[in-house]
Amino acid sequence: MARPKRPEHPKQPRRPKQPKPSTPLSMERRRFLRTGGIVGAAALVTPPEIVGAQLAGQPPSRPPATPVMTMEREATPPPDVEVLTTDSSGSDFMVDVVKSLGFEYICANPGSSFRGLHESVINYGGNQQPELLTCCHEESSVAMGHGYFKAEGKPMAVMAHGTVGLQHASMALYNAWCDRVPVYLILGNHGDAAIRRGAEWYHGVQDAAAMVRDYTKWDDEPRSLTHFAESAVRAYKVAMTPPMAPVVLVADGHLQEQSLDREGTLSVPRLTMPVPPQGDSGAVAELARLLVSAENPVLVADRLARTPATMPLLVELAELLQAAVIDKGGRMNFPSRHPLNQSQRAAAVIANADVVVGLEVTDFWGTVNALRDQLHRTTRRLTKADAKLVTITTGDLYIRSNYQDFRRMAEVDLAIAADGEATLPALIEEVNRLITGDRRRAFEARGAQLAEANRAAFDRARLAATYAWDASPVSTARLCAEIWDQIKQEDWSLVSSYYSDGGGWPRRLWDFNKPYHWLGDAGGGGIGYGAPASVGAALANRRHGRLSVAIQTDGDLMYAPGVLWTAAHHRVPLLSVMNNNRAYHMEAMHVQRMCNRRNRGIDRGNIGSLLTEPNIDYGKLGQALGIHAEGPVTNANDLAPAIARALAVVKRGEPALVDVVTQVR
Amino acid sequence: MSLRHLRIATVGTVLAALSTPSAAPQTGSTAPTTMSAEAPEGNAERGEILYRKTACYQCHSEQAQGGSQGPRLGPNPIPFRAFERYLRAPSGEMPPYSVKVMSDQVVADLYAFLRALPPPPPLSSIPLLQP
Repeated sequence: MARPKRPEHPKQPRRPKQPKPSTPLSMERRRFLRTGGIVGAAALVTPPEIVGAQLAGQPPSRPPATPVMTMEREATPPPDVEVLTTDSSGSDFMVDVVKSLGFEYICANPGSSFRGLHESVINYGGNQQPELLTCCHEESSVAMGHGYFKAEGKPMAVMAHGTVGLQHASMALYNAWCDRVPVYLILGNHGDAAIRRGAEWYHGVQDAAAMVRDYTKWDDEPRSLTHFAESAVRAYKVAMTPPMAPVVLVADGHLQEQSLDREGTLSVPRLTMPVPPQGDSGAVAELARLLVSAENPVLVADRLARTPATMPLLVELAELLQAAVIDKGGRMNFPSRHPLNQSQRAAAVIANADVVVGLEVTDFWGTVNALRDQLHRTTRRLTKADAKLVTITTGDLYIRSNYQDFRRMAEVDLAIAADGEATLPALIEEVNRLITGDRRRAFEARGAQLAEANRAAFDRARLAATYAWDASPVSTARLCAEIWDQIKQEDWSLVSSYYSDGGGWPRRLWDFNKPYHWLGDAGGGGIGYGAPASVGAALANRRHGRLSVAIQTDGDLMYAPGVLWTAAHHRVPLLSVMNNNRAYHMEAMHVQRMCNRRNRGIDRGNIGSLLTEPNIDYGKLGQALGIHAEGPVTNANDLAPAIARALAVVKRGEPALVDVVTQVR
Repeated sequence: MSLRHLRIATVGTVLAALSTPSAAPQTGSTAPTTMSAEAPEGNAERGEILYRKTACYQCHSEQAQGGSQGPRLGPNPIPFRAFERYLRAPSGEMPPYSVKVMSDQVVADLYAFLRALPPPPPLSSIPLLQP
């Protein structure tokens, strides 16, 4: 089984040699930079020290006349004292730092505030480690980083303007924050107002990270290259320490573009990653005692699987106890067809539990309680009154105020503030120590009952899938069954699907048993995650030879479909099968709820939520963006051949899309 | 995430209330249950149009087969009185359909549509759904 790599802690690099430009294109770029790209035409005729600034202690004088640029003047060489070129820049050093952190890719929609860094990545850095990926929207850049991390286990770097770029990126950044996924965002910004070009005023900001500070873990705006190096390494460390989250580093424009004249004095700090916190030994022993003595313990896992090591650990713990497991799907925690997997009957096992253990559960309150969405909202406890509730989560170690993704306060009997994965080995050891022969026999009986319930749930799912089997539009069950039939022999990875949680068809019908079979969802519920995250994850899977599959919803794709072009341009093999229900259907249901509650217009609830008149042709959209795309498929019997054709394209190393018009649910 | 949890809760709450045992339709029978005989006369064709117009399909899907947001409604719906009671005053997450927005005749037509739905193909006849 191929496993995503753990974050690398690379040796500190020596500064690589600057590669010599070898192509006419890079020669052209150099020539552009030497002929005014940095300094600007005005600087050719005006002494730099008075550009844009008043002389101290002197009354304002008449502003210098705007120089008249003529062909003759352009042809005049600049004064000998003025240096127009340099062989080494601050951003070259920044690339050294970025390389030291082991980034494979850096995404960007190009922007002038980081043009120095951009040039250093592609020329000085040789466009390798990291390789620059061309994106059509900053939201796509960040969401690609989000998906990439979940497949690869290490962050992707993203460059963006400190203002307009970050504004575009902010929703995707919020998703990553809510999903506790590290994205490493580098913002360009010209801090020094005295030397800003015209556009740099629109792209300049006093405190670039301010607008996303509520949903990033750390940020800094370094004032020197030494400061940049320390903050860059610190940012990586902070981002990758559980609970993980995005970080922001501002690369000042002047710092990027200044000549590097202190090369010998600069160095990159060594990165030493902290060991994730393990639960207190006394608390772990107490939990083990509760679990071993329980009659119906339930293990609930959500964002537990931090690395590929988690799933075998959770399987070991569950099998030791013969305990029910509910995989809430934040990560790929537990095999879907394991006999102890009770995710399809979560309500029943929670109701019957005497011990419920939440393992990195985002909404533990919502796991053991229910809130009813009617005119008068009411809550009720789902567990028995005397059930013991325990949590293990890094969520108890870090919380912010403004955005409310921390969920309702859960009343628990034991709260272990620690990393779930890091705590599992000690818990397993302690449980093993406490199990007696009598308990083991009781566990076996319990396990047999759970296995039978698991089989029955699978049979119910297969039976439920028969309804509307031949319907047009295609049923979502048929869609998923057809995809599964063609990928189950492959080394597959479902990189995104809106319907893959506990109630969704893939989780009900497919056999998920590897850490990369499922990567979780958007985190913050921000639509527009699916398509770019799929491309990012597929990029990571490409290296491992895995087949990446996305069940792509229509509303999601319409946010930033340009990411399909990015997939084509960088040859990212990804099979996208559209779940095209021609609506923002979740929202239609919310409005319908309001219509019913207010006793009016129940036949108008979908106004404002439909994506019809005209219908969107995703086949043509995909073709226009350079990928193999076909559809719309409306007859279920046409689906298998269409998927087969697309799969053949993906196996050649390219993206492909099949537009399938589906039932709404 | 909240939507995800809501979906699970929704299905869990109303599933038992609105669908007959899932094995029943495998018999191929669409005959109403004893209690369903209490149903007022409805028009299935009109019910099909109303099923979409009154947005039942939004949660229960176009063929009433159910999905992540709501349970299967037919064929072989639950007895009419239970169906009507739940529609008017749902105990779970379903939005209520009061008499003000859905007349008794509309309810009867919807029920007739659900009863008239054809049975699905037998599970054993679908290779893709074999374990």
